[in-house]
Amino acid sequence: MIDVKDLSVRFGGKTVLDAINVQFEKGEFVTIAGNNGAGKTTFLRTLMGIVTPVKGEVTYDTGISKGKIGFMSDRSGFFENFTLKQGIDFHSRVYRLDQFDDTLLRHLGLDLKTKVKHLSVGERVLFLFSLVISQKPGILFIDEILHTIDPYLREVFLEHLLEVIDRFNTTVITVNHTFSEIETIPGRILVMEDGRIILDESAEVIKTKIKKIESTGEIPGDIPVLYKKEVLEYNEYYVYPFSEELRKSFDYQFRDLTLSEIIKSFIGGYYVKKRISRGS
Amino acid sequence: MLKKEFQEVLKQSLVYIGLSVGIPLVLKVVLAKEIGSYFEVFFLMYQYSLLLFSIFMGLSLFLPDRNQRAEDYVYSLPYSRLRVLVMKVVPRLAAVAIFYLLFLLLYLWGGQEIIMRSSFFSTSWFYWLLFGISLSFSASADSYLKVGGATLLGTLIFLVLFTFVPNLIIQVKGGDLHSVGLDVLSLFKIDFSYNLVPFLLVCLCLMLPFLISFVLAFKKWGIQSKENYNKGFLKLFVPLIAAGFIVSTFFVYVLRVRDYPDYYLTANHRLIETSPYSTRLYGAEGVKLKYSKGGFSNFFEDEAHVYGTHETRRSVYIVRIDKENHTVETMGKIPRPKIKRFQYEIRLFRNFIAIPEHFHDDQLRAFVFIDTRRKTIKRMKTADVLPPGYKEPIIFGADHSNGKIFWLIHGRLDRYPIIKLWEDGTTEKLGMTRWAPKYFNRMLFTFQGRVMVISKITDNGLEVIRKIYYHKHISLKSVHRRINLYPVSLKEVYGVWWQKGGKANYVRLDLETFEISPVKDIPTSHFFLNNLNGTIYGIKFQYEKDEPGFHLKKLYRLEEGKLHLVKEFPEGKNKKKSDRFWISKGGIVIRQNKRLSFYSLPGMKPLKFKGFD
Amino acid sequence: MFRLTIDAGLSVPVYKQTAQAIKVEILSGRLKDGDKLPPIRELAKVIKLHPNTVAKVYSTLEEEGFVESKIGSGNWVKYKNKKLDQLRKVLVEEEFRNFIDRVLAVGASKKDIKELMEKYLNGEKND
Repeated sequence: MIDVKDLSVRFGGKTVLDAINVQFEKGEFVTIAGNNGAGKTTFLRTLMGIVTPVKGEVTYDTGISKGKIGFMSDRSGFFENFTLKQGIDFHSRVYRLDQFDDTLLRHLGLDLKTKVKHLSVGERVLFLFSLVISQKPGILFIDEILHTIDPYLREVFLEHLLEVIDRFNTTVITVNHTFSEIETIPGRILVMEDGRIILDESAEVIKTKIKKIESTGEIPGDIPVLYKKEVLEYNEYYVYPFSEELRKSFDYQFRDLTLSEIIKSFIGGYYVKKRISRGS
Repeated sequence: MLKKEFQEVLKQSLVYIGLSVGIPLVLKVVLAKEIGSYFEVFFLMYQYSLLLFSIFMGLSLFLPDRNQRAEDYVYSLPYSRLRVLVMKVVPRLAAVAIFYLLFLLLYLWGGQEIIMRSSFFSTSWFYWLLFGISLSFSASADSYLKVGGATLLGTLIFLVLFTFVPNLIIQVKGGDLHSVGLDVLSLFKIDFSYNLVPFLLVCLCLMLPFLISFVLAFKKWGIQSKENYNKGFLKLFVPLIAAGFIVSTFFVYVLRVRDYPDYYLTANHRLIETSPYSTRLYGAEGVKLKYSKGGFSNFFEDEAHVYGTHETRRSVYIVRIDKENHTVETMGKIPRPKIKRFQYEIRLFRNFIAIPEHFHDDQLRAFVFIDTRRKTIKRMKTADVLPPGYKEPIIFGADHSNGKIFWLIHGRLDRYPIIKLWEDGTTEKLGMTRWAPKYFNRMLFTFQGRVMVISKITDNGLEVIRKIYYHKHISLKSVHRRINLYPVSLKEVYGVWWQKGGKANYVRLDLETFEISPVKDIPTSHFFLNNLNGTIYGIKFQYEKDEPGFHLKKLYRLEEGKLHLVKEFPEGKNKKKSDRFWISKGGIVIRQNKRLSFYSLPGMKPLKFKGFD
Repeated sequence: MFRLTIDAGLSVPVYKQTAQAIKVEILSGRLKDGDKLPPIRELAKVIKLHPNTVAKVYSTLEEEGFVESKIGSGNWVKYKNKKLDQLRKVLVEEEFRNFIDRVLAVGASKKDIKELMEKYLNGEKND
């Protein structure tokens, strides 16, 4: 559905996306994770067309009109001086919407005459969300908004998102830092590092490929370690790639990990690499 | 989104209009009578703030979205970059056009009394120029200050190239700003017979690179990297502006005013051909001399040399061509008067050339005397030599006494005061005359009422030789080219007196008997006399307002009060605007239907020059 | 409705865990034959699962014979005793095994386990 070929983005002299190749299918729910500065947000914005690549291209299947693609970001602004009503009218005009469903806004108790600049962060996110879902989107790009809103609104948001996904079979691609609420939702995980995709795996499979060992001493070198963490008197070793043979060959307890922990270990591994390359 | 852009522009326009109307109102209330009428203050304010408005309109394409933090949103909309650009430009273009129209209407409707035409045109030019350039830089930075700075830089580049285009051509090919059509200062005085095409072409060729680079670079614009965008912009802009410069130079070169050349036939039958860009001298066998720095004019000749002037933008050079060796020599230079062209005011007497040096507002500042034998230049300020208040001083004669030369100068008060200016700068007053004085045969002709007084100039002043009474004032025709002040002896001199109703009557004054006799049958229109080599010729020419060109019809000799026909010239079939004729010591040059023919004087023998067959 | 706890830390796929939990509900009798299961969308919203995952849960349950899907009206519980008894046996043993493992991991001895078993089971009987 979305085909990314050899995508490169440079800001000035800095390469932010480095020859990325990936495909996304209809109906997928993909989460992109990685350290700060890995290029996740830029990737999303390039997919949307806000950032233009210096090489490569993003191709959407024919039949997908740009009006059916929604984009939300924690840094997304909206015309600050518009009232909500003006914003709704604007959005409706651009996307040729027949009607606008304001249940979400009413649920928040928002007065349509309020100006955008007077909304709180959470209200703004949900306002943008209500605009985006009014497009009946076939594709949604969501960039790191969960951590900006309070837990109650987070749940409201997720419930509406799931409803939208069910109604329109929306393909969702998110960038996320916090995982707890949506641990169980993504079907596919992408981890980015330095503008490249270093992990691309379904959520089910990745859980079988990475396990944790807790040990007070060193562990044999044959066990592939992604990342080691010192916790109190013992060490945590994140083993990747894990296979069932390791469980048979070694007498350690290989513990399962949540997605959050998995991603954290990948990012941890990145920082270790950076430290090593800096010689510290 | 178009609607939103229009709303934004409307708001900004209303603010502008409000300020333009309101501030003068406040000023008027506060300063009341001291500053003129409300309309005056308003119009001036409007004129100057117009430029700020156009810059602001151009710069404000993208910054409002950025300041409202809505950039992500705008570029996530299902519009192509080009469409976004169009939606932003159209309302601003409309506003700019409307406010210009308003300016035009206000100018026509009263502003003409407040500002000069040139000010109107220069404001108009800068208005659109600044809009275009500021538009081109509107996407290049994140703050008004930075994009404003870029605009100023861009404007500087434009203006530098704009002045460089004509100057390049002038350096290479000669001529001046006027002949290449880019004399901006006079452009701004705009005389509508002036050819605006070179000006518009240069503006277009230099403006398009800005706009094209902008549009093409913007198509690839992504938020977050102004560096990328600016790099892309420059990649397009640099070659485009270079191309624009070359193309505009080419156009100006091709379109430069190429007047047909003027001609001068010397006494030894050399043909001088002069155009704004070059001067050539031809003998019968072909080109003998090429001077490529420009054209000469105001020819005056003596035995060995042909003198002329050659103008550049700032100076007038007095040059001379050696008639035998065909070499060019510069005798001197003076600052070029900005208004008058030096047609008939250079005087040659013996080895001296006298040139009046004009101020830019046409006041005579000094006399410059060039000694061609000793190769010296002497400059005498009129303030030092002339009595105060001499208006329009003219050198009308010269003579020598005890080996020293003096010049006769008359001015204009309510009569004509005459002074004698010695070559060392001392002066002597020679009294007044009612009408313009003349000097022939070493005799001074002055007028008191209807009396013509003929005197000799001695070291002690004037010595009256004769007084002649005539019922009407006779205006004596100098009949020489005024440029050469010959002390040659004339036998006769002709003059004109005017009848009631404007009819001219010719008379002859015999310079030996001082008898005045009427002369009959002299044509009164399209006719002039010219003294060449001691013979007085009468030239009857044809010039009609609706018919193109000047045509020589008949050539006469005027002797002892009678016109003798020397030659009648047939009427050409194809008359052209460029048809002209020139008469000089050497003979006559005629250009008819772009072809040239040459006749010598006095024999009227046809002459041939290689290259003109 | 019922409560489902999904252990995101387990490498067992989420859909399997969910299906398992529903099976437990059915086996325990809390969900009876003929009960209507929540629509996919609602269940997804409640337990924060992707609707496709919920759909997979229901289709898995249907394959295994616990649920009947009627087009247009949703998913319904189908209760077959015999099978369930067998399954119940397997599940009980699985839960028991997990329980024993956990208690042993804490450091209990077999004797402790037996004693505690008596205590708690008898305690239940006494209620």
